[in-house]
Amino acid sequence: MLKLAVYGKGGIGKSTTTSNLAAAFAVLGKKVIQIGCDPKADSTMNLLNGEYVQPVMRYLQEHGEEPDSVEAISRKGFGGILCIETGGPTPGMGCAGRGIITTFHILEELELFENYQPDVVLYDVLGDVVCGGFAAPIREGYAEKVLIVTSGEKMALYAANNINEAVKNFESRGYASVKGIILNRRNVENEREIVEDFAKKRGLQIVADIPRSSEIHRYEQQGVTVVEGDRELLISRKYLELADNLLNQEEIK
Amino acid sequence: MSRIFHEVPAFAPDYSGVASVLHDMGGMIVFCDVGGCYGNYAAFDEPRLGLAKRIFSIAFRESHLVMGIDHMAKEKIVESYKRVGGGFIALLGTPTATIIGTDFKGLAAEIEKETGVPVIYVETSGLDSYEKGQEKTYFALSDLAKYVAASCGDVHVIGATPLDSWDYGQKAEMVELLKRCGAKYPVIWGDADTMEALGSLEKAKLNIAVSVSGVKLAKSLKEQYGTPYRIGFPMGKEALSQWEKELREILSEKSDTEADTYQSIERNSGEGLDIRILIVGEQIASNMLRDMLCVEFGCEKVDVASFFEMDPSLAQREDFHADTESEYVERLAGRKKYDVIIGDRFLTRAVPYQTKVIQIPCIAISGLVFMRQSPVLFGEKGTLYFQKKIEEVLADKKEEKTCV
Repeated sequence: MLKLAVYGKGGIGKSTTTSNLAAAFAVLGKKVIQIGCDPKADSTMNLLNGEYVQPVMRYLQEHGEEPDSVEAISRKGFGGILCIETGGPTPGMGCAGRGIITTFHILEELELFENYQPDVVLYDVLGDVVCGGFAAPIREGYAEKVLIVTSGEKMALYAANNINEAVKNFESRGYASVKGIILNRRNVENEREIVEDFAKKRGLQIVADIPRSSEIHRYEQQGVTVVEGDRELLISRKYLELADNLLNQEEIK
Repeated sequence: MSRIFHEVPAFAPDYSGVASVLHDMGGMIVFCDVGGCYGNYAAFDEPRLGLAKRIFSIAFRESHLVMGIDHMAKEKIVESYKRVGGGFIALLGTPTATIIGTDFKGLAAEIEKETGVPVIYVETSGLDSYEKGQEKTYFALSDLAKYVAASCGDVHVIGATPLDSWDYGQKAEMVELLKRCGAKYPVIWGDADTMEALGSLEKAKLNIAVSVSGVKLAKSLKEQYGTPYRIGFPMGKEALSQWEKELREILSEKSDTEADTYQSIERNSGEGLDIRILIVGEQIASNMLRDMLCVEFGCEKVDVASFFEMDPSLAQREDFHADTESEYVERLAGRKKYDVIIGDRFLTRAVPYQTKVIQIPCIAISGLVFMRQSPVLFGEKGTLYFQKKIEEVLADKKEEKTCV
């Protein structure tokens, strides 16, 4: 089972990257789960024709008890991808990190992985590794590899550095390691060189170089990923290529 | 609003359950809290405190909560261990540490590496009641068994802590009973020799779950090693006699008897007592009490209710579990009135009508407040105690009829 957590600065394109990657894995015939770890609960909407799945924390709030089946808190989207959202508090209240931890415990109790037997699990994690809750996906075997999404912009690289440091902090505990950087281009001057330099200094590699594309926006308006919309597009092929590489490396390992 | 408890206090939480199991086992027990959780355990949930020298709070402050407690916790625990020692270290999770997402498993692994002693982390948050923490602790201990050298120990008794109303006297009586019936090395989990005795778990002749927190492990050990198990303990002279007979068979050298799991004693035939009784408390002790009341006193209608975990396979048709005080009150109000309610004072005072009450204090509910009033019910003492109580109930009932 390939278990990947996708981190990056807010607004850098994590959900777009994650759901396109999930769609690419599904196109390659894999059984995929995507878990959105964001109070906004919009990580999977482009896999669900622009619709939402009821977040786990909302379910808890409404029912006052934990769900007794995975079906109660998930929906199947494009390519049979099982979509789950942790959800979280309304802005300014509660603790979003706690929402992630609670959701993971519930999924564990429901024996999601044992029963569903996915080939690939993707966690789309909000922003930086700001607290214990946001580190949960990279702990205790939830995700084994971390993909950091960044552009060549200074703030995106700053966040990427924080994420890399957080993962390194857990190294002695045998948790996830950084698989590499996904360069999500914003048309910054010398963008490839800037990110390459950043990666080199930290012993990381760029695993994908995603061009800036208006197609992303066009298909998102239709509630789908570019991979679902037109897999022949250059950008779609980039996601398919990345998915294929990740799977091959997993098999070699 | 239904979760608000008006008459019933908060129950002993899961971390107190963990500490109550480990208290006498010679390890260093660390509450990862600000101080209140340890304070609650020490002041309300633990009658033995003072005997243990290695239980303390890590006492973190607000800045630690903001910055994460991992570094300070590790430093303090390693330093403390150098001073007080112990056969193991136990980390107890508490609400605050859990809410901030403390990585206890990782922390435990690092401390184990640094000190070289086993570190037990039982996932507790203070959000569950004591028996859930105990249950997890028993499983954590059984997981350690594979690292312990083979040792003596033919009968393992799981689930006897003060929170389950087991004191040193009752544990000694259990050991004496087992030895009388042929056990050579009975082990009560939680006693000082438990760690060493874990080495005998695989080849034990019998496991006995004496409270609900030990039931799942006893069942699991049957699956893992094929070890037969029994659930319960003798309450009343009839039960004592039956337990003696069965234990002798199971523990005799030539025995090929499979211990049954849980079997009520046969009732004496004859006219039954027309009184409706509800026992509210820990499920296994309540079941044992029901057996005694039915067999020895001819009570025909005895139900069991609990706020704690209940094993459905050990419950009778009218038994019920209540999550909340309002659910408990609604259940009682929706049934024909019970003539007698037996249980902790705080549970009996929530009953929505006047009825006869027999108080049996439970530390997990009323703390140490009524502890000294706890009757001993093991073996024949149970019969003696309830003989008097049932006579009182019957006398009251007679008086009521006369008044009418």
